[in-house]
Amino acid sequence: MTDAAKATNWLDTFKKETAENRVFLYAKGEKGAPACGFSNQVMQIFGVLGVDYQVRNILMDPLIRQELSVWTQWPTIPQVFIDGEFVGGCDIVTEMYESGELQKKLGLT
Amino acid sequence: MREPNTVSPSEVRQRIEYALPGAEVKVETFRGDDHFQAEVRAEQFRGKSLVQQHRLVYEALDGLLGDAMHALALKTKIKE
Repeated sequence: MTDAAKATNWLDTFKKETAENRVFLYAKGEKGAPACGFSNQVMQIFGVLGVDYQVRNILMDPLIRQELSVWTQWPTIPQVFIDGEFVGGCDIVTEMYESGELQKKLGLT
Repeated sequence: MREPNTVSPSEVRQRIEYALPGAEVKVETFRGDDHFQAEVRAEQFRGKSLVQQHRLVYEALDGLLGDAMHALALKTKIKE
């Protein structure tokens, strides 16, 4: 498979999985087994709120992070999508959680 | 001689100040010298979403993040 063909696979996957899952998290590590403090923090917040979310472990393939960062124009991990929309990383999700905006966006309040 | 591939808090601060003239910028390291914490207060953030505000800062640090800067905990505020 040529690089170009392989490259588009991830992009197609990103579009599909962020559209098909209400809350989608690109993280370092698996759901419930984060390999980084920032990814863990987001998982903790979702846990506290009882949010059902899916995870893709970007450590599985270096191409994932590379192409994801191009697509979202966001250089760091984790990255959170809600209702197919890029919301931000750990800082923003934490700030939204503290202000209650996250709960509102998730329809919890 | 500084280790290659490292960056100091003041360099990070200057980069952000250069990209956002007039901004108030505080940068520190925490948990090792490649984990950074920054607070940026800038007029340029007015009317922008958090994602857009953070992107402005990330763009100023293009090439550093994920490399010399392992992590950046960022707080942005609109400067009145």
